[in-house]
Amino acid sequence: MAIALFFIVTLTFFGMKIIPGGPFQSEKEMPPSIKKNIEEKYKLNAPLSKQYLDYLGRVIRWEFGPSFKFPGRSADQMIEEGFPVSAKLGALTVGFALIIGLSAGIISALRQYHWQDYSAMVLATIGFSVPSFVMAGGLQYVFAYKLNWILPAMWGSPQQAILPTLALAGLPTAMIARLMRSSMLEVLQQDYIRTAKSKGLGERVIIYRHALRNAIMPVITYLGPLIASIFTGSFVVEYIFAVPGLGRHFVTSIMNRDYTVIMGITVFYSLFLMIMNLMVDLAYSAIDPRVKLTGGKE
Amino acid sequence: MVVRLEVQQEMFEHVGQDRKEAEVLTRPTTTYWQDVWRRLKQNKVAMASLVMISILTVLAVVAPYFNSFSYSDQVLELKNLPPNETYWFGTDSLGRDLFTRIWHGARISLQIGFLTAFIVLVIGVIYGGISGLLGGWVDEVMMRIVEILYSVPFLIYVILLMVIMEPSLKTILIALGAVYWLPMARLVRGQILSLKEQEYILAARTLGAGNLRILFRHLIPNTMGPILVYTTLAIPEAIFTEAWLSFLGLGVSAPIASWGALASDGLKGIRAYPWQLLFPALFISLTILCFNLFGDGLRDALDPRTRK
Repeated sequence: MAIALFFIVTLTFFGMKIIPGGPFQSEKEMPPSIKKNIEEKYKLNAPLSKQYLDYLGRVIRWEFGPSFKFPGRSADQMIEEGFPVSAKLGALTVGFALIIGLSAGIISALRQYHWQDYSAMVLATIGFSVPSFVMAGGLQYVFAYKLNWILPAMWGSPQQAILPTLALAGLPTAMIARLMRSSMLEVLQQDYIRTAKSKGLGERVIIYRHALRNAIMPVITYLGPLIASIFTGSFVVEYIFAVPGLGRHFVTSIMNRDYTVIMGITVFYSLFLMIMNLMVDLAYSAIDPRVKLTGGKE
Repeated sequence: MVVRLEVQQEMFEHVGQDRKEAEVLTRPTTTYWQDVWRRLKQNKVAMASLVMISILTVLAVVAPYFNSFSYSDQVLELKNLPPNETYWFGTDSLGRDLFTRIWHGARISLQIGFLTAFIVLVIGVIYGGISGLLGGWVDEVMMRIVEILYSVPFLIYVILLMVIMEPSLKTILIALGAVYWLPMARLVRGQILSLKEQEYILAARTLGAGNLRILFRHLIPNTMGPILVYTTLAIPEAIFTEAWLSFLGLGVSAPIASWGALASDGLKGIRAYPWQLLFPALFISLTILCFNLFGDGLRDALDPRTRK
């Protein structure tokens, strides 16, 4: 994990250095003295190796430096402000996707080849194929402009969280429903389920106590990529719905070529996602006693 | 009561079948791929998707010539027109014909999908193949590299590459190819690790086949199934990611526009001109849907467990 993180920091740093054009470039020619002062202030005139080592040092101390574009603001500040908002939206989305996705998956597995199964899977396949920004645009158009039920954008009241959550949750919900259905179908065919049936257990007990526990494993493995996809989806969705989260800062910083902020948020995101993946692995071994976390080969 | 049965020569008679004939196959043999194709043909959804993909591809080639507008001609007096007889899908905010632009966008998006899948196929298969076949420290080093790259969040990595490089069709292909070959390499390596221990590989070695021959003539043809499924599913994934990059302004540059860029433009005027989002969104979703359904169908057809 440390190597991967080091790799990201290095890639981002040198990547940002080789891009032509920078945040201080504008149509107007800048007087050399001003340019020199600016470069001095942000330590851009130091040799590259020194800048790199400086940056590594600062990343370890969790300081990502000032924003080039917005004087007086720093990347750390933006992360501090944006992350709670994004995390709230992300948590809502994960919750929604899990509840709806799992129930849809279970229902369609139990009622395989019935209308419940077909309609759930048609919906899931559509949800799987619609990009989040299309979903966001569509929802905004229907519910905010045509029906006038909800304000199209902004963040604050619980009502305003509905549309972004729905737009973000489309893809993960569909994914979870499909995964849950196929793994449930597979588990239900296994011998131990037949044993449970033949010893007279009720259907409810069989499904919730016996089948679910095994069938849910693929979904848990998927939680890592799921969180990643929600975060990346949130770049666009936050931008469209003007949610002041981390994703929107990221998008604006890309558009402004605001290096320190891009670098800071990239490193932050990567670290966050790696920790999430680690937690998913740990959860996996906690739920399934057959999985043991041992380093190396057996 | 015990019935005793006396077995005697007379009780048996020749039914008129020759020993030689018993060995003759009376039905034509079907190869694995014929079998796959037969199963695929029975899957109506997958076939419909295949037809739809073909139609979209053909339209992307010919549809821009259906009317006389070009994708870059701006007629500012005729901006934001709703769909009508002259402008079938309406016009955009600069008075450009949306129909022509959409099919030009289809060319970009489909190109990106197919080419990315091809790049992924080539790099992934060769990398994974070498790693799996050689094994030992080579495998160790090669897979460590993949693992490190793998733990970097995919899309962040693509964004970074796109920010670093000037956006164009070529750089999008590089960025997408640089990311999506990783799962392919892992998949191929895993398959080859299990296949290379089998007897027929040993037989090939005994006959003096070299590593290259074994890899390309014996191992890879036998892993073709999963490789094909992953390649098919990489196409919608690439189109999806490209649409998303275009939305962030990191896609191909104007006046050419991919579907993602068109949708992003459309979103700006959604309140007054919803068709500007509707048409690109419809085509993106339809294409991704068809590729996904076809990929699913292919997977079912390749997997003998689902065989009825």
